[in-house]
Amino acid sequence: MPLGGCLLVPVFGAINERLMKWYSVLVGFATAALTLALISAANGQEIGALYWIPGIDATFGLQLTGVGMYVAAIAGCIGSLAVLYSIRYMEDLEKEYPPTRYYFLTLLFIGSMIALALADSFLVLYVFWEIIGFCSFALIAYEYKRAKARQAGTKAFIVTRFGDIGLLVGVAVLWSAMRNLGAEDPFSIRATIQAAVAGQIPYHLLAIAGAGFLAGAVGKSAQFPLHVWLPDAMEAPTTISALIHAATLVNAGIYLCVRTLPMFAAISWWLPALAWIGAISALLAALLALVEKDLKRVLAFSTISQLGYMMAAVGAASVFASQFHLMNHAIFKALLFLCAGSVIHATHTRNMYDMGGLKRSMPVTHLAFLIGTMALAGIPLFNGFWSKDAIFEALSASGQIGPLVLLIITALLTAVYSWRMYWLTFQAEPRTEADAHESPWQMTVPLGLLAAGTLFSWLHVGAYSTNLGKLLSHHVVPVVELGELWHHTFASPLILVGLAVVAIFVWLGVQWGRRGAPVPEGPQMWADLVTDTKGFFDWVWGFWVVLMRAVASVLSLFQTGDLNYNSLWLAIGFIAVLLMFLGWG
Amino acid sequence: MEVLLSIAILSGAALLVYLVGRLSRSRTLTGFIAFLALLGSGSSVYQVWQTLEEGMSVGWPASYAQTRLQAYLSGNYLGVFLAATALLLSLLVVIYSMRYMHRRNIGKFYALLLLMTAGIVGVGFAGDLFTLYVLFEAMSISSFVLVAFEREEWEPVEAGVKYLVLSTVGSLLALLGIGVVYSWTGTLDLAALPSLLESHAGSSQLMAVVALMVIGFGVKAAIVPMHTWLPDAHSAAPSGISAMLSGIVIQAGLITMLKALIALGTVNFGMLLVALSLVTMLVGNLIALRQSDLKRMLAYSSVAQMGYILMGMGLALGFPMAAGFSGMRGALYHILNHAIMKGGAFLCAGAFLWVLGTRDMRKLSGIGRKFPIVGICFLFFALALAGTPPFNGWFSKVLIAKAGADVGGWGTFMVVMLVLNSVISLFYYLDALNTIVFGPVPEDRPRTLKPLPFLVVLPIVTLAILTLLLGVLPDIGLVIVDPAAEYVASLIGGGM
Amino acid sequence: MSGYAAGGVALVIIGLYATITRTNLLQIIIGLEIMARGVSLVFILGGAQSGTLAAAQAVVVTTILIEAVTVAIALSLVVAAYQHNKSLSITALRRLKG
Repeated sequence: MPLGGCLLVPVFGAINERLMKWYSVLVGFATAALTLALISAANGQEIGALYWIPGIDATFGLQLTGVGMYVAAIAGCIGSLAVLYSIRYMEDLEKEYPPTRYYFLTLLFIGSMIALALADSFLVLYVFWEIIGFCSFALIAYEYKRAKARQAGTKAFIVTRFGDIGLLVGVAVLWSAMRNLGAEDPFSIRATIQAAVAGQIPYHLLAIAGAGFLAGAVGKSAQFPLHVWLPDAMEAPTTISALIHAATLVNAGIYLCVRTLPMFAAISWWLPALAWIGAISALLAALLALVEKDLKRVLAFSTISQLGYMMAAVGAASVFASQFHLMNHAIFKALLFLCAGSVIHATHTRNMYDMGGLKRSMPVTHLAFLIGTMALAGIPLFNGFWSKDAIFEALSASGQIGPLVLLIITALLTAVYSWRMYWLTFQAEPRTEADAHESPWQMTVPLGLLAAGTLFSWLHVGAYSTNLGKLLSHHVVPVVELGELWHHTFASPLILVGLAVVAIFVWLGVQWGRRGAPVPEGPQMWADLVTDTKGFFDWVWGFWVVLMRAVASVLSLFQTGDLNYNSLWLAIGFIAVLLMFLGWG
Repeated sequence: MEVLLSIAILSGAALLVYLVGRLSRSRTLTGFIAFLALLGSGSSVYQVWQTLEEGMSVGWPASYAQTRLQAYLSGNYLGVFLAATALLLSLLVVIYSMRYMHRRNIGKFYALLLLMTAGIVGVGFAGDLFTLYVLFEAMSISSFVLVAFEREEWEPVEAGVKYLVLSTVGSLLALLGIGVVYSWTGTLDLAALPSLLESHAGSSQLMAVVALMVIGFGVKAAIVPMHTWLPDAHSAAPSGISAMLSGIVIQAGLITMLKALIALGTVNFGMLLVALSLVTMLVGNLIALRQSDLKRMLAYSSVAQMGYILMGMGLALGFPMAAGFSGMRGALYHILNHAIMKGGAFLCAGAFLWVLGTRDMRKLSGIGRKFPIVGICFLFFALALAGTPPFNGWFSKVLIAKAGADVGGWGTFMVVMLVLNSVISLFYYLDALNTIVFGPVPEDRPRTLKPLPFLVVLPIVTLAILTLLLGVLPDIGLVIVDPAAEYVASLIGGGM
Repeated sequence: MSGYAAGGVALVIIGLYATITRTNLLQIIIGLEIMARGVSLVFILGGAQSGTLAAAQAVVVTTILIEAVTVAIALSLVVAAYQHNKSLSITALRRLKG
């Protein structure tokens, strides 16, 4: 639906710019409504299996699954809010960059994500997986006249593609295996899961595919050690950041892991690997977020961190905990990003040390941001709290103590950095001369809706967990009722101790935020260095790129341009081929 | 008869175009004649296809099997596939060149282009090793002249000399191999050879012959380390010719090699080809990283893409039971895709060259925004070459990856290397996009540039549409790829 | 018989050696010609061995024809190169590299 919609964007753009924008919003909301309708209408039928590539028995199979439809619904709803928000937010940029491209790509992005979530074919999934990768490249580099934006887009694309090596290999291996089994549609996810659970796919093939899918998910969901692209992606317009980090791109990795969980759960190292990768990413990103000064990049690090939670939850084989957190995170992170956008719109800076005191001039934004912060920090009664708690529970139930400890430390750090961020931005004395003022309604309405979502989304946990388990034959999704959740959480006295500790850390964060910019320049320099390189991982990957280019320059020395050498290479090639033959017999 | 006709029409028209070109010098007229000739040839190729579909054999001369040494053509699906791809690309290049080329010598240009196309079509249909060689040479010789077509410049001349010498050395080595085979068996019939050579199976002489073929035809197919002529020739040639060279000529070289190797059937050279393909794609991609000349970068990327194709073929030949069909399918589909996307990319580069007179990417910065249609098309081609859906390159890569997975074990590792290579290629394609389409416009560029002629833009747009179409609906390509892959798989005794 | 074959192969190797070591364009082209003669020799031998000498002659004549065309083009390129560089040495043809 939005896929079709996006094709019409340029048409409308040619007619009238204003019309095109509102058309995009309309498509966005229609999509949202449609995806929400899917949830209630879930009946497990394939919706539209077209013969796509009969030559390889591939169908364009779509199937509603509990997990998929929520991911789709999140993409649709938050995407449509982001589109509405864009109308005013993007006005500044429109003079330089015609907006047709923006709305086209955004709708394509949302549409592809929905298609990815509903796909019942690994091939379709792979195609849309790459399309959202391309869209993210194009959108991050939206302001292409800035070299930094171009670089960030390129980096995002290349790093995620690097992870996709694994995904493609996995798809090919599974295709080959299913083909040998004589499957009717060798790409069907359902059929593949069935075959895997029944033990029809050899273990070593499954292990290769599992490793490959894991690599793909790590790249897309910006997990350690492929997290380096995400903070740089903050060069994108803020609405795009909200889309990427909350609604679409990064969720794809988590979704992939959840969807294929029953397949790979049998591989001995797969679940622990997920748990550890998630936990390490969470901790690393939280540490980096502590000392970051750029508002959007703090949010970026916190995204990596929260995705780490979800990854770890999948590693604990808990579909519910990871997906519950995915939904909650999508809502509150979109809220935070859109607030940040509103702030940046008003102050024209992204450096938190130059903000402060915005509480008075931007009351609506302030309130919304406060709610988002509470949820991020895991303050009770906000949605982030419930899902994090569920993740802890799942991890301890599965007996993975190492990741659990890391995640608990991360939770405390989260409290610190999120309050520091809030305090630096909204409280204290104004540190900017810019005449900050509240944003127009097209921007505040989405904020209000998302804030409401943040406050109340956990209330429908019962329906959520029920629907989540629907139509998934091999996933184990227990139904969690609201009362049960409440009871579970507050039953143990430990929770009070835990909350007290969190409160202490919140206080720490506030104190830190109150101090504003560090007085001596030295520490800040170090902090910038660490955060700019994402914990030095830019250097790790940069080293390989430099090495690759060095090898390239050595190789190009062999292209001497001398005719004699060309002939000599030919002779050497002949001898080499001959030797290889004689060697291999 | 139709088989001969498809080649004869082109050769005859080449003569006609040359004469007309001497008389009128009209680019439209000569181009139109060439266009008609290609269409005529296409229709006879279509008839060959129809005859094959009916299950009848088609060839020329049909009843010539009395003497032991015979020269003949035989219709087959592989030939139909190659001819269709070549004619499609050639058709678009003809249209493109109507405005792109200078008026002077236009008759000669089209004549040579048609001869080259005739050679490619013939290579696919050749029924014995010597015919194969002769038509291969017809293709090569016309391409030497075309590369050095603008001989007032130093660059095409230098590239032409290098190309000619290396290519001739290569084809002579291959011919030596053919001669040795002939002295053993007294026949060169591709279909009869495998059984006659069984007595030589495993002998080191036969291995030497195979090595001669691999190296000899490998020069044309730009397999590393015989690729050294390619970046020079492809970047110096007129852009339409670059598109032909990269898009179909080197692939025709590879198919020539494939046909010769299948005839020598008893040696297992699959592993060797896979090893060579690995080196080829790595070297091509890595050196491409360093290029600032757009056409040279595309040329190196062709080397890398040949590596992908070769990998599919190598897997198919090495493991006919497991991957015979799937490997060939991937390789042949990639040939089709590559003809479209690389041909298109070279035509775009040519359009930029035509406007600004430079191929240096830094000087081309931002040109894609000045000509948005060509710019967007270039974006399509670059992303397709890097294997991004929904543009066509992804599908053939998935097919080749499937072949590797079918082989299993180290075949899977080969797939990892393949995809890793396509990530490396992303580096330079995105670089190119970031400069040419998104880069800042240099200060010293004139405000008004001459507009691109419609006939230059038309083929580019056509190819861009094909790129998107084959990416979204890959089944269209499978219609002509699958019979060819089945044909080859049956020759090498492979399963489905 | 095998002496002829060895002679043919030797000619090919000599020709190849010339293309690798000579820096004069004309000498390189002569190298190509030597290779072609070696190949012709092998074909004639093959014809004699298999009793299809007439057919072998046809093949050889065709290869000679192809060689003639190739050399004609090569020489025309050499002339063009000489006009550009005022030299027949391939050291003047090393600008395209890297």
